[in-house]
Amino acid sequence: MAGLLFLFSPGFVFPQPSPASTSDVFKKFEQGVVQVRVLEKTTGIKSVLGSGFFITTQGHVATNYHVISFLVYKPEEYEADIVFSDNTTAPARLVDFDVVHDLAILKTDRKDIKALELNPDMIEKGTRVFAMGNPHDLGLTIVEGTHSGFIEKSLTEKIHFTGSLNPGMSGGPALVQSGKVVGINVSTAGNQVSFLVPVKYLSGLMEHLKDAPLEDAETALSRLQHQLSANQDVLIPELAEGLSEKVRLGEFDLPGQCTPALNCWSGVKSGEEDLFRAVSYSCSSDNDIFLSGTHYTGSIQYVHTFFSSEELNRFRFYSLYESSFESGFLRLSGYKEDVANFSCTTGFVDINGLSFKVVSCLRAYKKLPGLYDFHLKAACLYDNHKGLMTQLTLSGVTSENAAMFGKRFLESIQWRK
Amino acid sequence: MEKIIFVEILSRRGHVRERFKLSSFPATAGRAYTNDIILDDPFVSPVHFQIDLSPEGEFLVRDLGTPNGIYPLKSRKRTHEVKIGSGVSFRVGQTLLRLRTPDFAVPPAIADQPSHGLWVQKFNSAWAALISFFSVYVFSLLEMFYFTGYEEINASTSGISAIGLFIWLLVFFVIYSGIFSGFSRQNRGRYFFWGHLTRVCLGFLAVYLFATINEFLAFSFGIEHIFNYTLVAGICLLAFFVLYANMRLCTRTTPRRLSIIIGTVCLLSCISITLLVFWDSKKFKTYPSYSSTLKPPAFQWVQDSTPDEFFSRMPALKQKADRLRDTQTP
Repeated sequence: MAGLLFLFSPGFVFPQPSPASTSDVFKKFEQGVVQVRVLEKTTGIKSVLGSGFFITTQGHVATNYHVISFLVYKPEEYEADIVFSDNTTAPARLVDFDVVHDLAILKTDRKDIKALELNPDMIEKGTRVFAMGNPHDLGLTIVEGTHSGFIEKSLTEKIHFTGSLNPGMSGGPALVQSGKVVGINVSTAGNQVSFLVPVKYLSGLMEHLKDAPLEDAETALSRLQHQLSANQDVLIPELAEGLSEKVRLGEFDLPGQCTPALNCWSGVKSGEEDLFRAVSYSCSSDNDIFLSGTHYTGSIQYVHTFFSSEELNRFRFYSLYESSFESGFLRLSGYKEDVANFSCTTGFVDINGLSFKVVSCLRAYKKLPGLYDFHLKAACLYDNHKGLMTQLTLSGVTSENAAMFGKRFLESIQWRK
Repeated sequence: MEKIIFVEILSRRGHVRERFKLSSFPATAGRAYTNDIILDDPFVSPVHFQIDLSPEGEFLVRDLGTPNGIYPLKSRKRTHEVKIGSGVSFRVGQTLLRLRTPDFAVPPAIADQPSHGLWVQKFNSAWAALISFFSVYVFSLLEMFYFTGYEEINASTSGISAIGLFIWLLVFFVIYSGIFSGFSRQNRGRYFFWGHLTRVCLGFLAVYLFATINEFLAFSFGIEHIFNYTLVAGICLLAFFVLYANMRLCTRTTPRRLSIIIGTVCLLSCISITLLVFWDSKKFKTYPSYSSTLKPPAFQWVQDSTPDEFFSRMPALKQKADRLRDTQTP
């Protein structure tokens, strides 16, 4: 009886299983985690290091696309292998990838492996998450952190992980206590701000899992081009719908933050002795799509600047205006192996009753035909002492989408007399 | 009647280097100091040829058994003896010779134009030079403080800039005019310093005005794609006129010959600059190249297109971008 009273006495709680320690998680699941190496074929020396984990018992390994990008661009010069937790190695072949979400799947012939289970279901913010990987080639480690929800400022979905990821851990799994994978390590901003690719995208990739290796550059690049093209075919029209969101700058209503995924800022610059004033508003995307070490794509950036001056005469004002028209930071990457030169066309365009000088430029991707970087610049010619300049840059888009978005972007400019 | 002949030693271009008058015959020519005509040519024999009169009164040139002989220029065949008329040339050794009689008709004198004509004299005056120089200075000041720039203009900094500009222009134009004056003194006996200064200052003004008008017209009519080429061609043409005007004061070369020489130099320069611009446009650049000219609204003279019309050019732009991709190798 006393024992029963004890059972129902207030304050008593059923004993809970103690939370798994970090070392418990590590010991249980380390065999499923590997180091991924990309080797230069002639020397056999490593060029890129990352991490990965088994997702099937047939030997499929998940990692990041940016770890194995050389296998897509230069398969004749590079190959991959896997280093297991017991330090043995086995060759691995690329079988598929998702460049938009920075994922890739390799296949090795080893069979005595432990595959990790995926958990594509939603988990709560604050859940303990354990990221595993091989930072700086120092050996397999585990980092504890928390799942802090999905980041808003990204065109592709990413989990905010408050834990310290380091170079070399890319492609490794992020597990919950039960050992199920909820994300794939992808990047870090330092200071315990890191990012994971949600595992649902890996699940999606696994739905059409192939065994045949992607060994020739043409097929791999064709798949890359197809994925990027399909992604921007969805994204650009969505962004174009958001151009109705306006921001007031000077005498104009202009395209504002067309999606919450963009980071927008404002600033004012004055000339010496307040000879002129330039108020600017800019929006840009973070987290571009990695193509190769020298080339990122999938970004959008636009900047509006309103100039005004009461002190400068018309010629000096337009000298200021002109110097701004020729300069401007382009948030684009790519060397001559990746992209060609820009081709441009110029003209005077009537936009909602005002005359603009407009420049439209396009440059082609050398290995991904049909994709371009697009740059649009427009300067309003309506006053001798005031002016509006706007600049738009899109990377990795088709020319049709560039024209559609550019046109809607310009047509969104309204002058409030 | 005494027979006289002139024996002329010619340069490779046919200019007379030395002239000998012969009135007694036979006369000999060679390297030895015993000759009537001494030729300093190692391929000429000590006594190489003789000039004599035939019974008919014609001049004969006779080889005196030399190893290198005589070669009339017309036939180019070695000959032992040849009848020479007035104006006929022949070669002995490496020396070119010509015979002329006193009745040879010389052409009339060429008019020395820089020394004549009221307008030309005005251009050579100090007043013209000073007016031209100060015109350049005033335009440069306007360019610096009124037409361009958006920094603050205060008395001290603008004063320093104005003085610096004056000194720079003065040094440049004085050096330029000084160099040409040196050539004028050497070839024409006079410096023509003010004349050179006037010409270069007016040329500078013409280039500045041309470049400004070219830029405005390119913007106004929306033809900026040809702006680079018309600018280069126009500046080369103006450079031709300036150099021609300066060189006319320096040399006695005929105007036609001078035009051909300077015109060829300017044309080659124009072509080289155009090719350089074209070649530079083919180099890989991470930023777009386009004309960024913006002028006040009153200078836009071409009609606006609609956004649809503007973006209808996208397929053509895409083709151009694709061509660049295919031709620019990594």
